[in-house]
Amino acid sequence: MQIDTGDTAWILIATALVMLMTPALGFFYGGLVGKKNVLSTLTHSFFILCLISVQWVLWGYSLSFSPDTGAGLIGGLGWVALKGVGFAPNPEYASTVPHQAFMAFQMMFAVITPALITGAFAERVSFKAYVVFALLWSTLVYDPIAHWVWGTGGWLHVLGALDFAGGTVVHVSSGVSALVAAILIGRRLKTSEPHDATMTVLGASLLWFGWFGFNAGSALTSGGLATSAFVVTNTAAAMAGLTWLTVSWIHRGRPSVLGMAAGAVAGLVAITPASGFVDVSGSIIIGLGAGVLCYLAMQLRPQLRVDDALDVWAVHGIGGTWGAIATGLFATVAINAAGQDGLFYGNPQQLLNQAIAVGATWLYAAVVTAVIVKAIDLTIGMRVKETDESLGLDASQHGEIAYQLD
Amino acid sequence: MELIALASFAILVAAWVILPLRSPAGIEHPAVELEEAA
Repeated sequence: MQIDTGDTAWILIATALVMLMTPALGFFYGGLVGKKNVLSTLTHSFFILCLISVQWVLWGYSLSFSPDTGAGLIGGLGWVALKGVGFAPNPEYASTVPHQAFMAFQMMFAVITPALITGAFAERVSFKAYVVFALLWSTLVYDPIAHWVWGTGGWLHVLGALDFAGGTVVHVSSGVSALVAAILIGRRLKTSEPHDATMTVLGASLLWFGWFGFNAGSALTSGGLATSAFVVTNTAAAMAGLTWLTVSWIHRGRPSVLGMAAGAVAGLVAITPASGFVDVSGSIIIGLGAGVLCYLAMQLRPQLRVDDALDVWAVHGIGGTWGAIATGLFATVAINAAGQDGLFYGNPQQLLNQAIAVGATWLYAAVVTAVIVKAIDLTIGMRVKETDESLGLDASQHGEIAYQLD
Repeated sequence: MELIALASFAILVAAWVILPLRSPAGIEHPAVELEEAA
């Protein structure tokens, strides 16, 4: 296999773009929490960038992408510590870039996924419990699902489910896990208002920027497919931002700035699985649907009485589910000959395949997350003490505070 | 598909023109309070 320097340059740049998304998520979430929990929220993202970067090269990549162990459920341990993962391309995954470049690109997906969950249990989980949760969740939930969908021999891969950049692997898995974690951990003693909307808008902007690497990079080449993914990603984000703003305007009487930022993120989530398979009209409808559905899901939170503090389930769980299902509606081989047509192009079977992938991801992520949270709660405890929660996690967990203002 | 996409965008644009802005009564901005105090 011949290495293509253009493709390799693009994948390395895309890897760096996706890396930026995790601290950007910290800023997005950090602006939405109260003043006494800013650093702890930023730390959730920055820490996981460090933690999963090491987990991934040691065993995460091997479990996700090394040859299947037989049942389509998990990879083996043959690539532990990147043994055998060198600079020659692996034709199973990316035939024109070094295998390690593909591994590094995938690493950044593994990094951001557990970070997404942290918005659900912000302002009340102990740092020690978070460390254990992140490591267990990445190994027992993310790595297997990544193998199912993207790994050679993975059962959803064999079934023909389409997920270009991680609608099920990243967003449905984290969104559903967030809901389960929020239910089991319980409500905060006191909810807080967003302390810095500007930080959240900055975070959303940087997420959008990084998402070009996430989706267009998933083409794994630097040609037409990457360009198409880039264009539909931008279009869906824009359309969802406009839609959320409009729906919130109808509902609340004013166009919400934070709503527009959340809407753009919802659009980015929804287009993720579809970004290599749909045309620009499809992306507009996907963005529209994301803006409406995720907004409605967010309105359910008070009725459900679940303290998913930063609405991870509404944005990522519902946005990812909509995107995965919409892929089964709008996918067309005119965009990607290696994909499949969706329902609107005469292939109802694809919609069924997408529904199976979504259902399996919901079920597996929910059950295993529940087991992990319960196990940690029964041993070291998930929550901080009430006095520490009242003090704020910045001071009680890290001994630092974000702002020294008189 | 193209028609649905165009119609979706057109509806949003029309909504921005038509929708009224609710009165900001009830929202207190600290900067305004400081200006008034000065």
